Order: sequence, then C-alpha cells, then structure tokens
Amino acid sequence: MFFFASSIALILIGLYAVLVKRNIMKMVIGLSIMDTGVNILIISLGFIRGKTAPIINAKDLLVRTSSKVVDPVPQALVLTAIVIGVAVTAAALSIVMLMYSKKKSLEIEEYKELKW
Amino acid sequence: MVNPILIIAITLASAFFIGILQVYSKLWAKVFFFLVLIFDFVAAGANFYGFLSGKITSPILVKIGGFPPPIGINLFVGKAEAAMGFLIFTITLLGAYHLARRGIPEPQGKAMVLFLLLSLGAAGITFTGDFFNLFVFIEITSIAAYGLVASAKTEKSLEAAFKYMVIGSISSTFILLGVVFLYKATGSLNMLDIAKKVKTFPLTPVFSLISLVFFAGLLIELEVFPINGWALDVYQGADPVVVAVLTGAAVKAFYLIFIKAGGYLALPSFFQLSLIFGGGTYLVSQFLAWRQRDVRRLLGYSSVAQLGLLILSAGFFLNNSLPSSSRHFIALAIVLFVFNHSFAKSSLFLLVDNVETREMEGWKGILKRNPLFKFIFSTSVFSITGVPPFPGFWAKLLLIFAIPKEYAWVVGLILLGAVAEIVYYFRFYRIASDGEGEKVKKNLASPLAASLILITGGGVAWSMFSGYMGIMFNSLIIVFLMVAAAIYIFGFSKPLQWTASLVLLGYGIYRFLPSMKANLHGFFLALVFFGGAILLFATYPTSKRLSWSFYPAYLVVIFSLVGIALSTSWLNLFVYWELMSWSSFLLVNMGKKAKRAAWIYAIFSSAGAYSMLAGIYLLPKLSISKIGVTGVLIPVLLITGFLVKMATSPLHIWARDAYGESPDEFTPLLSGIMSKIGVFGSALVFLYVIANISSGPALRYGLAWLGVLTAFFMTLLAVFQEDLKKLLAYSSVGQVGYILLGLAIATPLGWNAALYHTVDHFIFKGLLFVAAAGIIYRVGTSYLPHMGGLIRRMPLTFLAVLIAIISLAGIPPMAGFAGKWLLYSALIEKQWVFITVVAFLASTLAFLYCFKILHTVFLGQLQDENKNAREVPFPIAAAETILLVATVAIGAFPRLLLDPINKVLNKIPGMKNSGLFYEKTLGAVSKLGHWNALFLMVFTVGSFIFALIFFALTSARVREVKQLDVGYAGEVPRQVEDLHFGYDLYAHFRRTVKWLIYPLVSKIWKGIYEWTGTFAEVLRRFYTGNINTYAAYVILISILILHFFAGGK
Amino acid sequence: MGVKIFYAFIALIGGIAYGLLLGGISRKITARMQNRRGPTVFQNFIDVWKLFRKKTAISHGVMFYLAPIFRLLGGAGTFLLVPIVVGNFYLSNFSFGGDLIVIMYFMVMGCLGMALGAAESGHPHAPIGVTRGLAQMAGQELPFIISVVVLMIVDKTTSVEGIVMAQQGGILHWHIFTYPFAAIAAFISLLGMMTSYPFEIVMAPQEIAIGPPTEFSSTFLSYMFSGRSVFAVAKYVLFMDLFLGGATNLLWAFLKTFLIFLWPLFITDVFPRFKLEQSVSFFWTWPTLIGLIDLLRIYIVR
Repeated sequence: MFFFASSIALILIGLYAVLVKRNIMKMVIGLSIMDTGVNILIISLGFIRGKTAPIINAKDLLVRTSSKVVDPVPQALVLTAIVIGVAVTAAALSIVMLMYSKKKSLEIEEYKELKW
Repeated sequence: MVNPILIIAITLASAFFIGILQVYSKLWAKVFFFLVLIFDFVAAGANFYGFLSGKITSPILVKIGGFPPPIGINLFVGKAEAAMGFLIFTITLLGAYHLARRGIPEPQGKAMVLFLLLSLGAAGITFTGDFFNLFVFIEITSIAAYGLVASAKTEKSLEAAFKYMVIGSISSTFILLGVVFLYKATGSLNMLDIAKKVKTFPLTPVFSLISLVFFAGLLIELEVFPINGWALDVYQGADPVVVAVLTGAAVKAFYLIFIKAGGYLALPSFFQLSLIFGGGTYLVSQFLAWRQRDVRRLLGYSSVAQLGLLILSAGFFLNNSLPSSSRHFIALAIVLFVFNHSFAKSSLFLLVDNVETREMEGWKGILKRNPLFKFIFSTSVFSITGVPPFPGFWAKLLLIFAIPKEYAWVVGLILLGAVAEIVYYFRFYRIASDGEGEKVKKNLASPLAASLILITGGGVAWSMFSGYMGIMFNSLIIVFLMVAAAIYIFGFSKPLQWTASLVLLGYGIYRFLPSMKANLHGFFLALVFFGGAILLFATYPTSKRLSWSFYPAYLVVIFSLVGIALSTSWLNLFVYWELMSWSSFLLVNMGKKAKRAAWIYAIFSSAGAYSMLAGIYLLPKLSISKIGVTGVLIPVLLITGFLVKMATSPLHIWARDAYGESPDEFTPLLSGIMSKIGVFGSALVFLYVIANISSGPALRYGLAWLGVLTAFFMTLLAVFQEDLKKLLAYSSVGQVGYILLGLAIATPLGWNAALYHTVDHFIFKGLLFVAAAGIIYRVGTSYLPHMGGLIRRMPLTFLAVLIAIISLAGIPPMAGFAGKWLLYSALIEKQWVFITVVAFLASTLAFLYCFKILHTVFLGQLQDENKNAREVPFPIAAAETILLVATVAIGAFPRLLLDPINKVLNKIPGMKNSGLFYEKTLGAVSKLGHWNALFLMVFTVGSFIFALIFFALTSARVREVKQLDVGYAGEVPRQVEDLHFGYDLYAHFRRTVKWLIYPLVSKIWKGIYEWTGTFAEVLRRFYTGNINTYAAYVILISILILHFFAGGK
Repeated sequence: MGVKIFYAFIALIGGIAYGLLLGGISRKITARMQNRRGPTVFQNFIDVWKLFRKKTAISHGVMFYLAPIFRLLGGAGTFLLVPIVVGNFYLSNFSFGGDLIVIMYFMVMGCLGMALGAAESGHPHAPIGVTRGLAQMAGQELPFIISVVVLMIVDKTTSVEGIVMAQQGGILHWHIFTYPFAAIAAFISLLGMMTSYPFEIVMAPQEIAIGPPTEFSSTFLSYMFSGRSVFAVAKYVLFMDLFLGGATNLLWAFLKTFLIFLWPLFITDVFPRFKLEQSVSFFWTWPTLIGLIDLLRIYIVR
C-alpha cells in the first residue's frame, strides 16, 4: 500500500511539474518523476508482501512455486520501461539543449510561436 | 510470404548499422538505407499480395523466443495488418525518396536512423500481438518521431518536438498504465488471449476503467479534439516530409491498434467514446481550419478532422448491434479512408515542402506556372475533399449508407463537416490558382506517385463500389469518360480535341438514340445530347485560347449529364451529379477572374449535393420510382440539391459570377443545359416523392413561391447589371425560376409549361450565350457600356439575338410565348392569384433588360475601339442560325415541342390528360383559353411584309445618314462627342426600387460565412501554444473520459 | 378567311380613323380647357397626311427603318386581336388567334420595335425616353395585372370573349360594377398606358424633346402616328371588353370606347408631370392596393 501511495504521489508530483512549472527543464524533470512513479506503481502491482523473487534455483521454491513468489512479469516490464524512460529523457534533454541554444531561454512563455 | 519478424529485425539492425556505416561512407549509407526500405516495401507488399490473392489464408502468427503465446511475445499479421504494413512502408519509401532528392538533413546518418526507426516502430505497432510489446513499439515510434520533428533544428520544429515529447510522454504513461492494469486484471499480455478472456469475463466497471486508461492514451496519440494542440503544432512546425510520414504512416498504425484494441477489449462505451470524440474532432476541426492562413497548420486541421472521421467510423465498425453487412461496408470505407488520406495528405505535405512560404498568400497563383504541381495538388485536394472518382468519395458513400437510420444525425454531421472542408480547401485552391505565381522547386516525384496511386485507387474503388451497392453504372458512359480522360492525357492540339469531342458526342448520340424514349429520362437525354452537340460545335473558333483540359472536362460534364438522365437509382444519379458538379467547377475555374466565383460555386454545389445525399440516405429505397415517404424533410433535402443547380433563390448567389466569369465557351452549357438537369432532378422529386406525401400541396405551394420570387428578383437584378454575361446569368436564373414554378403547379398544364420552357429556354438562352461568346470574342469585353452600335458590324448576330430576345420576352409569335401562355393558363387554372400576379410582373420587368441588351450591344453609337469588329466566326454563327431557326419554327409550330412533351406526360400517371387539345382555327385550346400560334406567325410576318412593301412603295425618298447626324438639343454634335447612352440605363428606376434590390440574401450568406469564420477564429484561441495548458487539457479530458465512459453499472 | 381579312382590313382603317379623330378631339378639349381655340378635330388627319406626303426622309439604319412598321404592326395587330363586337363575325376581328394573354404580350411588340428603331438613331434622348417608358410600364402593369388576374380567375377563362360573355345580362354584371376595385386599378393603370399627364414621362417634350420618336420624320412619323392612334383605340376596346361588358353592336362600341377615352382626359389637363420615380411609386402603391382588395376578395371567397 505504501508503494502504491508513494507511486501515485510521485506521478502527481510529476504531473504538477508538467502542468505548472514554467521552466522547460523542470518540466522534463517532472516527466522523469512521473515515469519513476509509474515504474514503482507497476512493481507494486506485482508485489506480494512476504514472497520472494521468482528464481526457481532456491530449493524451497520447487514445490508450490506460484504461491511463494511475486509476479515476475511486472518486474520484467519495469526493466523495459526504465530503459525507455531513460531514452525519452535523453531525447528530451537533447531537444531542450537545442532549444536553449537557439533562444537562450528555458521559459515556456518563449516557446509559444506555434499556436491557433 | 515473408516473415514479419524479418521486416522488423532487419530494419532495426540496419538502423544501427547505418549509424556506423555512414561514418565511413555517406554514399553507401544512403544506398543501404534505401535497400532496407525497398526490402521492407517489397516484403510488406508480398505479404499483402499473399492475402489479396488468397495464397495466405490464415493470419500469420510468429512466435518469438521459443515461448508459445500467450506467454511469449508474438506477432500477429492478418489481412488488415498486412495492408497497413504495406501502406506504412510505401509512405515511408515515398517520404524517404523525397527527402533524399531534397538532401537529407545533416547529420545524415541520424535522420536515416530515425526514419528507419519510425517506420519500424509503426510496423511493430501494426504487427505485434502483445500489449507490452505494443508499448515498446509505441515508444520507439515516438522517440524516433521526436527526433525527426526536431531534426529540422529550427525554432519552430524544436518547439513542436518539445510539445510533442511532453504530451507523448503523458500519453505513453497512460498506455503503459493501461497495459499493466490489463495484465493485472487478466493475467495476460497477449492480445488474442486477452480477447478470449474478455469474452467470458464479467465486464465490470473496474475493467472498463482499466481499458479506458489505455484508450485515453491512444486517443491522445490519435489527436482528438481538444487534446490535439501538440499535433497541430507538430504539423505546423516540423519538416513537411516528416509530417507526411507521420500522418501518412505512423498515425495510421495508431489508428489500427485503436480498432484492434477496441475489438479485443470489448469496451462497452467504445461506441459512445468514438462517436463523441471522433465526431466532435471531425466537425470542430473542419471549422477551425476556416480562417487558417498557415498552410501547414491548415493541413494539420484537416488531418485531425480526417482522423476524427476515422475514429467515428471505427465506433460504427465495432458496434455489434449493426448488421454485419453494414459493418462490412464500414470496414471497406475505413480502408478507403485510410488509403485516401494517407496518400493525399502525404502528397500535399510533400508539395508543401516544395514551396518556400508558409503563408497561404504566398501560394497565390502557384498553380499557373507549374502544371505538374497543379495536377498533383488538384488530385490531392480533390481526393481529400471526397470528389469523385477519388477513393475519398466512395469511402464517404460507403460509410454513410452503412450507418443505420437511427444515427441519421451522424450522417448530417459528416456532411456538414464535408461542406466546411470544401469551404477552406477550395479557398486554398482558389488562392493557389489565382493569378500568376512563382515557379516552385521541382521535387515532385513522390507526390506524383502518390497522386497516381490515388487515381488508380479511385478507379478500383469505383468498380468495387458498383459491386457492393448493387448499382450498375452504364458501361458506355464509363468508356466515354475514359476517352475524355485519354484526350486529357494525350493533350492533342485544341482543334483536334474539338474534333475528337464532337465525334465522340456524335457517336454517343448514335449509341444512345434508343434510350431517347418518350419519358422524362429520354426527354432530358435528348436535350443534353443535341443541345450539348450544338454548344460544343460553337466553341471551335476560340478554342485556341482555351486550357488544354477544357474539352476533356466539357466531355465529362456532358457524359455525367447523360449519366444523370439515364439513372434509375438515386445513388447512381448522385455519383454522376457529383462528377458533373466537379468537372464543371474545373471549367468555371478556367475563367480568368472566375476563381472566387468558382470557389463559391464549389461550396454551393457541394452543399447542395450533400443535402441531396442526405435525402437519398433517408429514402427507404434507392430506385427512382414511387416511394412512400412521410414528412417534408426528405423531399426538401433532395430538392435542395437540384435547386442549387437551378440557382433558385436563396441559393442563387453563386450564379452571377459563375456564369459571368466562366469561360465564354462554357457558359452556354452551364445555363442552357446544366441548369436544366436541375429541372430534371426536381421533376423526379416532384413526381416520385412530393406527390406521395400528405404535406405535398403545401410544399408545392412553397416551392412555387420560391420559383416565382426567383423569377422576380433575378429579373430585377438583371435590369441593373452592366455586364453582358452577368445580365444573361440573372436572366437565366430568373427563367429557370419560371420552370420551377411550372413544376410546382403540378397540373398537366403546369408540367407542359415547365418542360416546354426547359427546352425553349435552352434554345434562346443558349443562343444568347453563344452570341455573347462571339461578341465578346470580337469586342474583347463583356462590359456593356463599352459596346454599342454593333448592328452594322454583326447583322446576323443581331438578328439572332433579336429573335432570341423576342422569344425570351415572350412576345408572340416566337417560341417563348407558348411557355408564357401555358404557364399563365396553368396558374390561373390552379388559381394561385398572388403568384400569378408576381409572375406577370416579373415578365414585364424582363422587357427592361431585353431592351437593354439589344440597345447597349447593338444599337446606339459604335465605339471607336470596336470600329473594326467583324461578324462572329462561322461556327458560332452556324450555331446561332440553328437555334434561330428552331426558335422561329417552334414559334410557328409549337406542337413540334408540345407533342413530344405530351407523349412524355402521358407516361406519367396523373398527367395523362394534358388539358391541352388542338383545334383548327383556335389553335391550342386549354380549359381557359386558346392561342393559334401558326395564325399569329402568319399574321405577324404577313402583315409585317405587307406593311413593309406598302411602306417602301409609299414612303418618301429615304436618305441614309451617318451615326452622329442627329439633331441633339438643336445642334449637330461634333464627331468626338460620345452620345451613346449605355451606362446605368435604369438609374431612375433603380432609385424607385432601391429597397427591392438590397442584396439581402448575399449579405446573409456572407454573414454566415464571416460569422462562422470569426467564431472559428475565436474558438481556435483555445490552442494557446502553451505546453502547460496543453498538458492540462490532456489531463482534464482524460479524467473526464475515465469518469464518464466507464459505464459504471 | 379571305372575307375575314377583308373585314379586318376595313375595321383597321376605321380604327385608325377613329383613333386619329379621338386624338383631335382630345387636343380640342385640352385647348378649350386652357382657354385656347385649339386645332380642328381633324387636325391629326391633316398632320398624318402632310407627313405622309413628305418627299424625303432620313434613316439611321435597318431597325430605324423598320420601327414605324413595327409600331403600326403592334398597334394594328393588337386592334385586330381584340373583338370589337363579340359574336359578330365581321367585328370580332381575328380574336380566334388568341386570348387575353396573347393580347397582353402582343401589345409589347410595337413598343419594342419602335424602341429599337429609336435606339438605333443614336440620339441619346431616344433611349432615355425608351428606358423611362419601360420602367413606367413596369409601374403601371402591376395594377393592371392584378385586375386582369381577378377577371381571369373569377370568369375562369383567359379569353376576352369569355370575359365579355361573363358580363352579359345587364349593366350590373359589368366588371366595373362587380369588381369595382379591380376596375379602378385598371383604369388608373390606363392613365399610364396612355402616357398622358401626369404620366407623360416617355415623351416629355420639354425635357427630352419627345424622346423615342425624336429622330423620326416624314413618312416614318406618319406611320408611327397612325400606329399610335390605332393602338390607343385597341386599348379602349380592350378595356371596354374587360370592364364595360363589351359591345353588342358598333354604336355601343363607339359610345363605350368614347367614355373610356374621356377618362384620362379629365385627369390629364389638371395635373403637372410626375418624375419617373414618383410615377412608379404611385402605381405600385395606390392603384395596386386598391386592386388588391378585389384580389384578396376572390382569394378568400375562392
């Protein structure tokens, strides 16, 4: 439950940054936080208190395995999601860098040329 | 069959290999890049062909990593996926080729890698059978897209990329959450497995909520209103080539997964969701584009709108309550829509890439100097706006007729949006074709390929459509249309084109002679053929200055008219009707100053056609025969389409300029025959629809008023018109108003009058317009005050015009009188007192402009600049003579025309006893009165000749004097004095009727246009350009979606 | 048929003569009212004869040459299509040729022909006069149409003979009494048709030097004069047939047409001239409204 709550909180913090912050760098940070929040949420969905990692090598796991381990799939998913998140953040940062090199500003108000 | 995993794996591997390769050799990297793309194209094509030809019968399932599904990741490629894959790689190849010809932006390798990744991601989205895998491919596509959008490295593109990135991240967060929740709920990630489970699963609100999270993410990617600000900014800011691939390929992959997921997850509110978001996006975006001046953003709005239509169709496609045949049609419509939009929009964006300026004003006249550009541009615009025979048209028809009647309002919405679409696209078209613009870059191979694909697709769609809707298109007409197209393609010299057209028409007459039976269809068929032949004949002398597409378009108009006249099904009629409208739009647009007129013409005729289509949609059956309907809605919708072509008030405002500014060679057809096909349609509506409804009499009375008021006001406006062709235009419209009145009377006598006037109006107005063409050719202007005194220069034309005018004015003994007599007899018999009075008054007013034509053109003083004008060229003179003889002959023997009409009417139940019989001395006798045409002719001509001889014998010695030899205010005017009274002849009368000629109707229409535009412009401010706001919209709308569509039970 | 033509010819000569005589009478009456002696009542005959005997004439072209013929044709043709004495073989003229609608449209021919000839003269006053005339026509036609439509609808016929027949059986059956408002409208409209003061806008001698015919002279003018005279008579006869129950013999015809002839005369000599705007506005208001009373009546009663 704690994980669940904290992940939701992280997502909301990230959203807050995206919605309210006027600095594009902060928005990217917000996206990253949101991403982390989602990852934790995924993990927490697969997590079952008191159970162990689904590595079948351990002896006591050989019988009635499924009742003793957490769901492995979310963890696998999260790995991928983290990688993707990193890639997106990298792409975002490079875009922000280029934007800054053009206008020397990180203010979102400066980037309203495209509208209507 | 090519294993789809190969496509993905090879592309992925190559993408990174190219990155390395290009460090060593840029050229080889490029070659390799194309090799990969071509491989993808061929492989995807082979798969698609496999499905099409039936070699592959079941979907291709690919297991990955040795795990069988549902545990392992798998690819699932069915027919739809194969088709989409082929589409994606075709568009990508076109885009990449375009990019390579233009020069791939530096660093070259990066762009190529991103390109490959984008296409691979899109293909992955299409092919994958696993939800988490889907997420991965979505991310690959998105990251590649961010990079590509940013790759132009301008301020605009970077801004767009950033916005795209922010919203894209939110969207993928939603999708990821949705996928994980799905896993949590079903314990599976495999699409088919989940679909299987969902079927047996209790569809709880919680599960709906879970799918909704996923769909919310997809809807953001699908650019629905109002969470599409980012998308519009991308369309506007990014490199057009990138946008072409994005909108043509990547977005379509998202759309496919939207449909698939909709099917798999069986979301109960999917229908409502797609109806509201798809329909809303479609309608709103079409209007938001109205005042848009940035071309790229305009196309962006259009893309968004088309996507909205697709989402809407998806909702219907997945609605289980629809009969499976309807859903089949909708699936076809979706395929056609996707195909149409992908190629047309990509082609347009690639064209945009050839033009420096972003502002629409910078496109001014761009088509004139760039013929190939013009071809591609026209094709693409026509395809997107759904002009036949392009695929978009058939898609629209298929979709509309598959929508069940209880969703009729959706059809209305679609058609309304379609009209709005035509308004802004053809404003764009108008600007691009107006005047002489600059030359553009010539990177046109890819868009050309796209437009050729579109044309082919249109042809295929047409043949498919005939099969599906069970409509037989007359194969002969199709052949003739193809010959017209061939004339266009081979572009012979103008005289040869003229000859070919005439021969074709002659052959057409020969072949269709058996169809010219004594019924309404045959009657109008004969009018179209013989009238068209005469008018076509008269175009010869000026043919050299015509556009090379004039004769092909002319032929298409004529053969579509033939098609309309022969139609036995309303839908068939509609197809030809649209074909006729659009080919005539092209013809009108050929006039030098006709661009604005053509635009308005396009709007009105398409709005009319769509209204007609709505009526046809509501009809219980499609065949043109007695139909039992109730209510006035259907007849009103149907007849509106025809009234537009007849330019009945208040739908007339297109007519003045379209008639006045269209090429002189075309106007006779526009007035003489095309307006009559509107009469044909109205007659069908009166006969088969209005006759059977209980409120028929009231409706007829209303239409009669419309007709007579049209006659009155148009006549009044003609009186004050200073341009020959515009004057004739108003006159023509007014006369057609009489025809409508005759039809609305709906007694045998009334229909006699209407049909008689239909032919007769063709004769005299055709003559007048043909003569006008000749006069304008000789004089070089159609401005009446610059003419005058031409009687000495062109006596034959004067005689012809004089007789035509006498006929027009309805003065016996010429043919026109019979129409008047029949009409008034019918009116008095019907006892519509007020209408009769207005009709009489209108025809009295017609004398005013009749005199004006004769006076300002032929009489009075000859202007210096016209001193050397000669008689009109021979073919025009010949056409004049033919029509002149016809007028006189029918004047003396009206039964030449009335007998066939009677035969026609005898076929119509209720019209059998025409109420007209013939007696030796009294001539034609109705229940009310009589008139002896032959006697009047003999009497008039005889007395005239007698008086003339008597006069010549008895009169004083006559001395011819020079023009200026007049006693003016007691003195003889000097040679330089211009005494010609040719401008504003009725100034005094205008002051009297000022309140009657206030341009109320055009002000209202203009007001509607302006206010809609202003409203759209204000509404557009909604897209603030601020990414915070966009994100807020996204969150807000997602919450609303989750709240309202969870279907909580 | 030959007999018919012969009698029609006689009637035509009579019509022209009667028209010229009426013209003379009107000139005389006007003169008397203005306290002048005035010309003899036969002055118009003298004028026509004088013009007819002129040795030379000028022409401005074909239409100009044909204008007098059109004028005469229009006048005479109208006269011959209107039955003078209904049912009388000799005096029903060529009324079998057509009904009221035919006559109404035939009436335009003469005007149009003359207008074209006048316009060809190149004299600016001519087209000015013509356009005035046409506009005035649009004005005066409205009340006339209203009353004619009333008659055609109540009598359920468009034939002049039919309308005459419908009025038989006593003076109170005349349309002037059965449909007085329609008749009033038509008779006001007649003032415009005769282009007499206050509607003397077309010729307007003081302003545009008699407008359309201004360039015509000698034989041309004599023809036009005759045409105009017989045209006037045709209109009187038409009004007689429409409103005064037609005529059962020639005497009645003379009497009734003379009465109709007198009506504009009473108005003419005591009014100044309208401007065209005023004229059209007048016709489109008062006589129209008056005519509408009867139109509404039949609309409701029907």
